[in-house]
Amino acid sequence: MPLHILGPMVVIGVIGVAILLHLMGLSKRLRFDESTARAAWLRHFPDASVRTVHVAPDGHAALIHSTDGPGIVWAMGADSAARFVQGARPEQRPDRLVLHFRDIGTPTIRLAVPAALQDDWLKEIGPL
Amino acid sequence: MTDMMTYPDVVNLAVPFFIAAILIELTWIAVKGRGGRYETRDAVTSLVMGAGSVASGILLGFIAWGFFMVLWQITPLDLGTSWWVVLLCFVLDDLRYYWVHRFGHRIRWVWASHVNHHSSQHYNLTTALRQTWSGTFTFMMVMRAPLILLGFHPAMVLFAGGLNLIYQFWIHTEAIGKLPRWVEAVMNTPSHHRAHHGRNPRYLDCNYAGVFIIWDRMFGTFVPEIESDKVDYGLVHNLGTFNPLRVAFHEWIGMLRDMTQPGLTLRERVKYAVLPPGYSHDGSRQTSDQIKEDHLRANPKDRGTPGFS
Repeated sequence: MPLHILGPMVVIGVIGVAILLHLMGLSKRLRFDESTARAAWLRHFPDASVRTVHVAPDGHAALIHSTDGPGIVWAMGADSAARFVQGARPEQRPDRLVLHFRDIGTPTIRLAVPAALQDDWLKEIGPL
Repeated sequence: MTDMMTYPDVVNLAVPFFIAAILIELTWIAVKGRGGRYETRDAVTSLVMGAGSVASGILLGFIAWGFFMVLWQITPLDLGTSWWVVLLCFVLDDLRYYWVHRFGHRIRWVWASHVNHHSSQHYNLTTALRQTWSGTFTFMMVMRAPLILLGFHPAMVLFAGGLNLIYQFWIHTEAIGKLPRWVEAVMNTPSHHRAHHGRNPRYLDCNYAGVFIIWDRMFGTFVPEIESDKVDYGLVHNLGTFNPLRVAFHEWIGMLRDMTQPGLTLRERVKYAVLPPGYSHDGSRQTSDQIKEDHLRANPKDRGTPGFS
């Protein structure tokens, strides 16, 4: 197929599918409560039992204290990702707490934690 | 010997069909309320990965093609272009695909290229298009050398590979359950390939087939999809990004970081490239075999069941 046909077809196809999915309401991010955050963590780390769960105010992430250390589970679209936080570099912004990792597959986790709560969260996370 | 031979570029020609099939699957799911899930950013990432893969083929395809044409000049054999030669080429190329795919899961250098195909936590027709950008750098083109040296023209071999890829498109769906027994026995099906995309311990490293599932049955890697162990799609450690560049290259960078960390012997550095994903010199990570063993320690009743034998 000539490139001048293939190229526009692909671009229009991608944009069209994206708009359609968004209009169908399929861009909603996963929200956690304590129970679903616990379950999501165990899905990623079945061997690291959960001790405590702190759900972020917007419900899109949670701080987990597990038997293997602290970690974050957060919404990746309609699904979740999770990781331990050792080695993270925290950055405090007015409206969010950002954790930076030296990991090309998970460079940052943005937590919607307001400034007033950030110190509490960092204290809960403990030394990084 | 035939130097010039042309076959249609079937993958590019299939693009309109891919887009139409995605819309049909999406409509089916919306109408029926079952048969899979879609999410905007995940689907867009998959589609962009697909477009990037086509672009990568256009930009880098000359390397493999040049290699194949050198082999074609060397070989004294020419099987011609009869329909049965094309059919035989398709079947043998599928066997080639099985081994390339198996290496893709068991050799980290090759996994670095293939991992992106497994990086979605969804399983729908867009997942099929989440293809590699870096296949050339795995050097798996050498796996096609025997076919060309046997007398199959390089254009025919690539044509067979294209048909193989198109076949695999439709099996990336949850909208189709199990097919009649004879089909499930011989062909790769949505059910078999769902198991292949599972991150459950049972389903790690199984069902490498492209078109014919018989290769997995022959080489002992077949695991059926089991109702009581619902497939959980994605990677053992799922990605925290939808950025296509990061999806495409994260494992290459991770592997190179591992290989170049200070204090390793040369042997350890090489092991990071050639041993299965999850190898680490200090035992801090787990390979799929170790994950399965851990699972069996916690669930001894599963020992001897499919995927744990």
